[in-house]
Amino acid sequence: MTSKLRALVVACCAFGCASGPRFRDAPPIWHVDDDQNIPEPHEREYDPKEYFANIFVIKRIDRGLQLRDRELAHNINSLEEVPDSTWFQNRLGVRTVSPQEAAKAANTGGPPRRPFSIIGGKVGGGNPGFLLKDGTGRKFLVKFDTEHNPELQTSVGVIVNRIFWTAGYNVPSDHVFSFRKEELRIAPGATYTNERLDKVPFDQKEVDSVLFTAARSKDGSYRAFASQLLEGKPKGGFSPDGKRGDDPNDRVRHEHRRELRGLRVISAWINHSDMKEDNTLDMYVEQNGRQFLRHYFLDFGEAMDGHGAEKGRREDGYENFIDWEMQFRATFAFGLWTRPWEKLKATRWPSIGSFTSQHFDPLEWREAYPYWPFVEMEDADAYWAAKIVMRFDRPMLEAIVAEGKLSDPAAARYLVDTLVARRDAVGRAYFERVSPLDEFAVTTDQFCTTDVSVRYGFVSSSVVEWLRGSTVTASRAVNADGRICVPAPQNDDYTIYRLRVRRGLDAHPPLEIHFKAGKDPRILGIVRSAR
Amino acid sequence: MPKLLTPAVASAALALFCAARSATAETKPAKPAPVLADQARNYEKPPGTEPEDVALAVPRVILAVPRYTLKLVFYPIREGIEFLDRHAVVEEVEDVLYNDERTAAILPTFSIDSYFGPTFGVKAFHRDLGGHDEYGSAEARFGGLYKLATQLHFRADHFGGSRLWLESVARFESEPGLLFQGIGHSDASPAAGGLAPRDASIATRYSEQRWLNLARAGYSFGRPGSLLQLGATAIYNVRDFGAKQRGSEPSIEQVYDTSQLVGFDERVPTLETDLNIIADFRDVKGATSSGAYIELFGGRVPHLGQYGFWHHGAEVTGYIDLYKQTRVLVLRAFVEGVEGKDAEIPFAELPRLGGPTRLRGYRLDQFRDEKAAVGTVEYHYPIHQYVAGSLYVDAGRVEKSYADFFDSRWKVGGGGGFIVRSRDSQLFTLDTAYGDGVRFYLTTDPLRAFSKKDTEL
Repeated sequence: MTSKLRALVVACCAFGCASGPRFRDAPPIWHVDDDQNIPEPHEREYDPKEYFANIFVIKRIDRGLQLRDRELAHNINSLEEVPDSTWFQNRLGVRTVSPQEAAKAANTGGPPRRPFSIIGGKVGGGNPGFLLKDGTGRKFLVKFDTEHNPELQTSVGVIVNRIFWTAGYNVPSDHVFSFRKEELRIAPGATYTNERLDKVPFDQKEVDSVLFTAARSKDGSYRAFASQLLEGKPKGGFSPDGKRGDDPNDRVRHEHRRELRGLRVISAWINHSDMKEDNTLDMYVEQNGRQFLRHYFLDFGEAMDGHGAEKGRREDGYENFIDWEMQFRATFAFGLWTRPWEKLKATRWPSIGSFTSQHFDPLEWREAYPYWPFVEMEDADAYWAAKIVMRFDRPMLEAIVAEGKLSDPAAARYLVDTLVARRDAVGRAYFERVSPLDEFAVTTDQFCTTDVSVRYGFVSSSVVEWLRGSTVTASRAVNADGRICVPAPQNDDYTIYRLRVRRGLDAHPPLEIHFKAGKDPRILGIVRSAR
Repeated sequence: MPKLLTPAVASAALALFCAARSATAETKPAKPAPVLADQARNYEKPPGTEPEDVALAVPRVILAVPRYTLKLVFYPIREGIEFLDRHAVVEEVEDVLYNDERTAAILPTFSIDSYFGPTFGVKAFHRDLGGHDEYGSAEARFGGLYKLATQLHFRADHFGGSRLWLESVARFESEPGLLFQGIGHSDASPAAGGLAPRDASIATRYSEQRWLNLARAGYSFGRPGSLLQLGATAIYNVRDFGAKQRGSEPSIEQVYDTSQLVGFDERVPTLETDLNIIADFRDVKGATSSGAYIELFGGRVPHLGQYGFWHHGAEVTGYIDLYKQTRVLVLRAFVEGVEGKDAEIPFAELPRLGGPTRLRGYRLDQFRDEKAAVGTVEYHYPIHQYVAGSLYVDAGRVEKSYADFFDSRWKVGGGGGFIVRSRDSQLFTLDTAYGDGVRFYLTTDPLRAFSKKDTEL
């Protein structure tokens, strides 16, 4: 540390870094108590027509007229992290997760075990299926691949389930398994709810109808996706915006939850475009004598190219189903505009479809059905999620992809390569939207941080600037590993460092670190998107 | 009575109570208040009102008016949609109207014409009468374009699973206000009354009652993508004409001398027998993007009474894939003609132009003469998974003979529109065209001049 730099940093603090404390001098909160005992809520109904009318037209106009502005996520802690809750459990974001743990994920007992007994038909969703009770008494929802894309949705369903769990979300125990038709027995009293909402018997004709469109292996067996039914009482999916009126624990509007906003980045990575209320579920569970709602994501089989292949949507991941902006532009471009998705080529594996890293721009990625938390996502939310995405390393992804049980090893290798390439694209895109300084540490004599873009190799060099307002008071290049340390103030005053990174002429938005140095140094808070 | 509560006892009791309370506090610490999800940020001093909120306060208040107005407007719509969902109304109605296999139904029909207003009707159909996609329907319409129209229709491209191509139609229709705007292309505007049909192009209306019977039999070769159909058709028409019964324009007899209109003043029965050839080489996967469609017919209306003539037509449509089956150039040409003595060709049998399939930008049947020809250049481009855009130019002309086409000024109509389709087939097109005025069309396929002639209402 040069004496000049020390003088500059000290001068910075003396002149303007310190101001009134924004954060309490308290440890960061890593757990919130949203699992308080609540009366049993009613079951929310999902009305697809109303849902789509809202997201494409009615609420869209309303939101436009609200003139919504940028808003920081409401449920983050002082370090801009998401505390553990009934929505999210920090896993890969804060600790080491082994590939084996990631591959196991929420697996509580493995795939269904023989004998298989059908206890009812599947309700909702676009794919046919049924409810199965296995030899151990566990109940599963069973679905199949389409004839044209064998192994696609079953493998993707399990792989993305593992990714969601590892990232920190609540998911069911999902598996790929096989059976022969003659192994299925229909339990007495098996029923299903038909399109007219009538409860009718689920008989052999219905089983044949489900299996008729299902992909079949060469040996005549059916490869299926089994999702173990969650514990507790289902209370419907959670709304993409607002709060649940009958859940006192639900104190943060959903569109302002960071884990839901940041999910856009994770979804872009794995092209989970089928994000809608119907693919979420609130379960009324009992734990430690308290009854409360736990919030789950489910039904991941339409990620990657699952949705695109099933619906014939080549633009999946590039445009909303009704995309007023893109389709308006297309109308008046008269075909002269070649949209990015038009350049996509299907891979040679039907089990992969068109999932590729080519032409993938995470910033331009769009879900099929507008999801309000994604619309509200801020750069700080995206950075939080991109950090999680970047922690999925190759061994972990290999272990996760192996759970998909793709029969062609080359397809599995391609999928891992694609996930790695898209992961890096996500990191590169979203880290560079902010000043990607992280891993802050204050000791009695040093203040350290890391430019994670340098550490991940997205850029080769970086300069960190100390600011007073918008005036640069000091600057220093980071080391080759992205790390930089400067002398810490010698007193325990409430101190604010206002920092930004500069790459040549490109200065990134500043952030603020609030800390106390001295004998008991500690970080008090971070403001990722400082004004 | 002993005095129990001495000061010493009291202080000992208090000490014991405090000790006990202290012990309780140690063993059972006060339960901390739950950490709330919206208070995890540890703010000592939460950020105040953001500058954006201050700047947007006034616009937000102003926009609150349209916002809440729209909420009111949308309220019944939302409630209606929710009702549809919760009570599976669409499915229930479908269940009433369709059979279990969804191959047959009785459906109400509705269409609207910008000139005549709404037409209502009912249609019963079965798409799979014999198990091989044999289509049969019975239909009735009234109002708007029709006083009354009823039709029975049967079609089987592969009757009974064979290669036999069969089709039959029986129809009665009473149309109160068909357009007659002269014959040929006269641009003269003489005073109305007693005009010969070729003297002027003045829009008039007339009524028609028509009995139609059509029978067609043929043979199909190949399969979709390379399909050839050869067949023969017999069409028996009986027409009666009269003064207009609906429409704001003058009745035909107020402008034209109807005695000079062949067949107007008496019943016109005709029996036409044609040979048909259809060659369909269009690609069959998704929207048509390559290949060609060719339809030819030719035949004779023999003299059953005073009318007799030859009738022929040809339509060729080519699809050129410009880019990845999404940008498609369509070139189409069709000609239609009748040959015979002028006095033996009823005016209603003259080929006509104008309307959604025969010269867009002009009114339905605006032009008629012994020969008609149209050329189309149309371009399709992608907008949405289920919607394509189209830009087109139609140029058409009616004349007394084909030789006249080469020295005549063609009528040109151009415009654009949307082609709406499902994953498997085209559903309908919405076109806006400009020719001699702006016209809007809703039709199933604007590029087919003949294929549904006489078979669809």
